Amino acid sequence: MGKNFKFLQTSMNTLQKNEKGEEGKILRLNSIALLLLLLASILLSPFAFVPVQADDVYGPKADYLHIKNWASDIDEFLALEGGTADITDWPIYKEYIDKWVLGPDGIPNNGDEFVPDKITLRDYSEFGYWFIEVYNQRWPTGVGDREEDVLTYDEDTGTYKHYFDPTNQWDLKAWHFRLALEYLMDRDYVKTDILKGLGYMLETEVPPVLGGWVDRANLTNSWFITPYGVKIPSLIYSKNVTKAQELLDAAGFTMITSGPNAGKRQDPRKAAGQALDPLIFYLRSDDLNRKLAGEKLADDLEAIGVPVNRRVAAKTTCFKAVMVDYDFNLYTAGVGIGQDPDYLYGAIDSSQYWGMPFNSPKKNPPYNYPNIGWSVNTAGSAYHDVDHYTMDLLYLGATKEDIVTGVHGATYLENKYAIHIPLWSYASVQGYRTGWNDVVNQFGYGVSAPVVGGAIPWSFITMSQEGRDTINWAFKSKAEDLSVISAEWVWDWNILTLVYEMLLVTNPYNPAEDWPWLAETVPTVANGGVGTWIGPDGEATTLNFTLRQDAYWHDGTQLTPDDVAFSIRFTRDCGPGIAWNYPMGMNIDHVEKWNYTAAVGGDWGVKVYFNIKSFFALHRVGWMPIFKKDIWMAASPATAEGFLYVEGDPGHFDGPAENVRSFLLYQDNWYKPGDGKVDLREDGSGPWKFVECDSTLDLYYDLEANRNWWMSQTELSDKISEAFHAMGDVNRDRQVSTEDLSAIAHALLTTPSSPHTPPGGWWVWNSDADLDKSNDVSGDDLARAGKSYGMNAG
Amino acid sequence: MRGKNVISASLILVLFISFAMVNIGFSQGPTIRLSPENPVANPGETFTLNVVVENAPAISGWEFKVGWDLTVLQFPPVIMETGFLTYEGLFTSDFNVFEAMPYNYVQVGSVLLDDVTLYGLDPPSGNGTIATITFTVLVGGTCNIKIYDVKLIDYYSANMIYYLSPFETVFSTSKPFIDFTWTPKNPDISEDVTFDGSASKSFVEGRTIESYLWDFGDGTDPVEETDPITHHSFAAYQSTAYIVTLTVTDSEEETSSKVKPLRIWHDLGVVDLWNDESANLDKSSYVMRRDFDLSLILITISNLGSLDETFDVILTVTNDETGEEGVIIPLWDNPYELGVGRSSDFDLMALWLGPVYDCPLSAGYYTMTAEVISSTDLVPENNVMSIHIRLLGADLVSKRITNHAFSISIHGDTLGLYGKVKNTQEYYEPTGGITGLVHFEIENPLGETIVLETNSQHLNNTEVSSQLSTTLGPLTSTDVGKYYALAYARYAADGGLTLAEQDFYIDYSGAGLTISEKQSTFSFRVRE
Repeated sequence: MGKNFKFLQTSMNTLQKNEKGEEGKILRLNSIALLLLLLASILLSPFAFVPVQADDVYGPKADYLHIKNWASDIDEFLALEGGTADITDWPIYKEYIDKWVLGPDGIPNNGDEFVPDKITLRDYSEFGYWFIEVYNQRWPTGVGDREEDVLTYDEDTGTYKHYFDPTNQWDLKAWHFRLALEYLMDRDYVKTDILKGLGYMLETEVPPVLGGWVDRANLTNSWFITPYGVKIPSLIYSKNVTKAQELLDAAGFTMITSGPNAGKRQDPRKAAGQALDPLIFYLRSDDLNRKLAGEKLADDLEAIGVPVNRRVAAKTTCFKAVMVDYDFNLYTAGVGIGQDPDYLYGAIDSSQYWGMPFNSPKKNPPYNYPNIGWSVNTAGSAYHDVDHYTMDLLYLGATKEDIVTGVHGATYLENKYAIHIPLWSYASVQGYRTGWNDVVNQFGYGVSAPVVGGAIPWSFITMSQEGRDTINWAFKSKAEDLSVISAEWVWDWNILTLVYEMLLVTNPYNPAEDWPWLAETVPTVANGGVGTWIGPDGEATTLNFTLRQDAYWHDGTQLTPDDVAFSIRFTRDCGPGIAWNYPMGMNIDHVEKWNYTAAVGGDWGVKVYFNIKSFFALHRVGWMPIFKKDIWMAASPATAEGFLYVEGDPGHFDGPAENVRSFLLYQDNWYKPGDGKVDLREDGSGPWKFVECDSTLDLYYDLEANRNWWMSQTELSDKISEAFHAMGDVNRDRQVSTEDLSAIAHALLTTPSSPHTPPGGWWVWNSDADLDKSNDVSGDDLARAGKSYGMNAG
Repeated sequence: MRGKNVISASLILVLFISFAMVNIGFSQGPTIRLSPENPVANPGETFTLNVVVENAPAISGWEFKVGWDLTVLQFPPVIMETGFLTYEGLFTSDFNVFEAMPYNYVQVGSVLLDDVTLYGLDPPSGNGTIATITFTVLVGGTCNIKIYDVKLIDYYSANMIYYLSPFETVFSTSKPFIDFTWTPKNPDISEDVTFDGSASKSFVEGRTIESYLWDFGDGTDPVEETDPITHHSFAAYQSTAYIVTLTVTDSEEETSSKVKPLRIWHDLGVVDLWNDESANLDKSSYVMRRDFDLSLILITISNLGSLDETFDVILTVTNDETGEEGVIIPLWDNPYELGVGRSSDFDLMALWLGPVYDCPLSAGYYTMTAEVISSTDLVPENNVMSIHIRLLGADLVSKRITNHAFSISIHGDTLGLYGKVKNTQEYYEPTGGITGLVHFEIENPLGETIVLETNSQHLNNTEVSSQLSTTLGPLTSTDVGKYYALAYARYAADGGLTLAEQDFYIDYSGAGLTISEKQSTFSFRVRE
């Protein structure tokens, strides 16, 4: 989930460390164990040798992670090609895949190929998608920027916005205009000529990895007639220039045939003969595919008389224009998403629109001063019915049926009102230099793509190469905001997710499976971790997390339930516009800490009380990054930018809550009264510790391994290997092939107690073929392996 | 002796080779091939290939990859299993397809799920078709279709027993393949453009391209040539592309056509103008304090035309009423060059110098304008962008206080001090807090301890609650440098303050340290 656009990100990894003093203790214990094992092996068998892991290391296998921002997709590909980079962060374009697979001469098998000897490529279908962001608070893609437009005050955000009014002709005409955009978007061209086949073209704002939630048949078969009499035969759109022109003509965007504006379309809000102002269309100069897709739409708009003001600019300029100034009509946007479909709430719910229409005549305060800042970048749906599906059912849904209804309704209305123009999800390929071992090709995120939800960048914890202590990771774009509270760009979270941890993470090969991380176990109804209470508004969800006791912050102090409770409350209390993860916490009523004498071996944890009954409650809390209470409370009154937080249920700020945004991972000059300082580099409990970056965040970011993390490399390797094995890799050769399926076929219908079925046949019990650990080899195991067929571990 | 040995050795070698050949002849290993070879079909049509295995031993599974050029044949093809493993459907198999579109291949595998020997049957073996592949042709042309990474699974052990040699065949259309290019890549009007269709060809043996029909999309008559190269020039700029169409005809009268857009247009646009000192997110009303040292300006310009451009960029800042001009230092050189489709991104930066560089400006409203000066640009409407900046008046802003303005003594020695109140926002909520930041510099460590305390803080000359206690020391040589001290004041709208403009100032004193002078003030308004 996650609440915003351009790239959202709400997940965090979780990892942990042992205090330095503990490390010696582990070694001493292992030494004793070694002696005992040697003694046992001498006594029991002169030939037995039991390997021990006396020198097992905690934390990532590499010592250092050096991240360089190449500021260009092409440049980072070339860095990988030249060996300057070990691994990239961005889907590789088809021409580079072909170049590396075939060699520069394009002829296979003649010795100049990069793959497989120099570069290893791994593919995946991404958890993310790309679309045309349509600003529907600005004419003609929406309504809201003219003197006569009705704006409604939103108490929650302190801003004004225009809601869709079905009796307002301008709303209806703008709707027609957006529908025309749907029909002009040439997805076939994008797929074949731009993506070179490496993409799944989208029919809704739900990518194929989550396609099971979509009612495609209903969208295909639904039709309606627009207020100006144009029949829309299906809510699945494909390019139809005639239909686009029909929609524009019907709504008064007619072609001007004479005068200085001949060949352009009439602006129906102006006098006859006056053309539309050019649509402001931001095109990303640093992302070739997005730029080309936007240019194609711009070409097609101009071809039918809609003038376009193309603004080709790099990420930061687009960010400011689109997400700060709201000075745009169209933008080629992209988001990374988590494994739950409630991201649609962040994508199109009207509460997610906080900005003020640019060019509004109502410029004076407080109209043009949204007090929650810039963190909204979506225009929102501006239609209340959408909120019913996105908020009431999808976000606040208590049952799976609610969620299904929410997704169906939201995608229906989104397509009907053309809120966004969905484009594609990548059939992605990422690469790394051959020689690195144990890279993880994570489902939906690949070997190093930005992660969201419960995913974490596993490769950077597991990958290793003999003789190399540093991983060189190439970024396509710079980090913008290294704040665990407010960061929203993927490059920020690429770093933050290695530094901070969550209570739960997602199995890298099976997104349907949660793993306990800072939590000891995944709360379930069966284990008593998931329950209900009678909240202020009736029955509501409770989650009880038992927490690890071997997790430590980067400053060496222990991570406690107090920290977890604080993180949850603080995220909730920061509110929208400040805490990126605010939607994850906004329905939490209160948090209880509990401690059954942890000091003497009992459990400790937190119990979270929601004020709603929520289907996704587990992930909302489980995927929330956890940060250190002492550091953030020290930051609270420490500086001129202090925020004066008072913890509670709810807590509150005595100072400006916006100041929370000022505390960044890389700044070490935060002083508090007296002689101390607040150094956020001591925050986080993850496998990597932040060391430094350049002052502008433009060039590089350095991290070092947290050797006091709570998981050993052996344990981690086993866990990852076992996870892939369970997906179908019977013979553990890191790929799922016919050999694995054949092994299952030869063990079908057997159990440990019935190892031959029938006796004498080729069905022989093979515990490795029992993928789901059900003590039998059955069709379930076969289906699981078949679903993974062709997968590669990394 | 030596010759005799050579003859003996040769004889042995010949005998060995003969024996080996006979042996191979009697026990040829399994092979795989595609049938029919060298298929032919045309765009929009489909064709089917059989994947044929021969001399297979007893197997319970197979796997192969098939790769081809995705631009010629559609991805994915339709792949069906035949009855080789399952005896025409008598038994169950598990058939899987993995579409590896990025790498131009599909991986296919199937395993038998029944032990056919229990039914008295022999395991699958010998010759037969294990799968069919049906392709749809996208365009005229040719490509290799290769089947590789072929694995056969042993019927009894479930292990891979054979990794077969790959097999490759060539597909081609009977309609000619067509493509063309032009030079220069980005032509201007009236420039001679060479169009080259020589990449077009027929893949049917004996056929040649007989004619090239060019339509340049500019209203001129189409030109038919027998030579693949022709020349043309375009007379006028056009914001939309010229649609160039080539139609080729081969010696059997089969034709193919291809269109490509060619745009000839000059357009430079100022996309953004950005002042990093802005306190307000609304571009139309930046607010700056007049005591700024220097302000960084970022201009973004895009080349939206079809030609490389060379142009000047001019940046000015002017008082709206008096015409007073600010001092701008561009960090780029004119003329500036920008290639087709490129953005200046972060290259066009400038500095606006403030009072510290002896460039003070009057309070008031200023217009900052970035302009592209180009003799070729055809869309002047987007060549200028302006932002409006309000410089707050001198009496309302904090000043950089020079050392001589304040004298702080500790036991007779002097510390340099700068007093500065830092505000981050112009408007405050009716109830809240204000922080002041005192920034001072220690020049001579004395082994002393400095305590800074707030004596009082005032809002509109009304004392409000305050907190400040900063202790430094004992000072050592490592303490030389800059320090910050914090003042914080709470206020409430119902505490007697008016909801109007307020002044906020801080007095400091401490042991051996006295500042009795009002250091600085700044203005804010309480939100109504």
